[in-house]
Amino acid sequence: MKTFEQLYTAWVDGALTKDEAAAFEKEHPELLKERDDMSKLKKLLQDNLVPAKLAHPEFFTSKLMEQIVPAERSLPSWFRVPRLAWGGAASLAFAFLLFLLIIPHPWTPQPEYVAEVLKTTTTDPKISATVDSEKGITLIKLDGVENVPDDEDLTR
Amino acid sequence: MNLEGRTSVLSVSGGGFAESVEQDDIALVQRCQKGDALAFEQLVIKYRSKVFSMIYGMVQNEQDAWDLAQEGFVKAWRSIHRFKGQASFYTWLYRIVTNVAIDSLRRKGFKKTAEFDDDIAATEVEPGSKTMPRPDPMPHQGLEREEIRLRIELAISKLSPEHRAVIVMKEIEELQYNEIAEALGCSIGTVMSRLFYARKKLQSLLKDVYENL
Repeated sequence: MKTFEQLYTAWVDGALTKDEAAAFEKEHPELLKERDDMSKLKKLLQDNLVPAKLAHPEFFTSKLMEQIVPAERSLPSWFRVPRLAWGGAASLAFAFLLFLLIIPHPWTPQPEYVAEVLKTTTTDPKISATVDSEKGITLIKLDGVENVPDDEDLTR
Repeated sequence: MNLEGRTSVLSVSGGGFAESVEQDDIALVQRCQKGDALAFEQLVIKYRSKVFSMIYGMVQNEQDAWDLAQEGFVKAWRSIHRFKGQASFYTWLYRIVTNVAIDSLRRKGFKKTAEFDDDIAATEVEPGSKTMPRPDPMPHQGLEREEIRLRIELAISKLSPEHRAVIVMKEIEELQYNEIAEALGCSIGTVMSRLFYARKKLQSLLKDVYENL
């Protein structure tokens, strides 16, 4: 059973059968003027509300695809896990790398070079200095220094 | 191939051609469902003008219509895996973009109190009631086309989002009742009822315009 509104709309749009339209008009003779009104309204709308034209349709599509493609296609599927999880894993890996590189370990090979002597001149010409760097040790030898007495307290 | 030209006859043609257009759509949708964005791009090219036009008819603003059409297509892409082919792709897409437009209009604060309500019983509107012209004096002659268009846009802006949708689909897009019902996700009876109230409202707002043309 159609309501009045439904019958009226179908009548205005010419969607009723001939018999249905005749029955409706017989029941509502006062509406005949209404149909003219509605026809004028429909014509007014159809004449003046022409479909809007999309300006720059190619730009529209390219902007749209920018939203779709980066999100869905450029990233491999394994990357779509939550970013927080990947961030945490990356931080742990970085910390482990720092541990390996910076903190000395027993197995880290010790450098052979110990020190570099830049100058061996002395203020006393009687004393000469020579440098011997072998087996990872830098040895400075002083020749011509007076003997230190055995009873000299070197701790002072 | 001019896809936009082909789709322009979709709603008015029947038989083999319309079926072949739908077959094309189904093939593209199946590719989309496998993640093929290029297939979706073809659907966008095919329907962008009609979608934009429909949304523009509802929101009456070019920039808003542009943004909402973009939003509608993005939503369609994200939910395309849910498309089962029970309706045509075009109807399914229309449903998404119409909802986007209706939601937008609601967010912008449409005042429903000023609108006809579908729930109002028929007895509240006399079957033969004569709608009255606006009391404000309007020029009886020489209304320029632009003025008329603005009057119509103003009148449409006073309709609820749902009533705007049916008026645009029926009077501008010239869709059939069943197509509008599918696009809006409601019954044909509801569509006809909404058309009744929307037209009554427009009749009261625009009587002085169409009677003096």
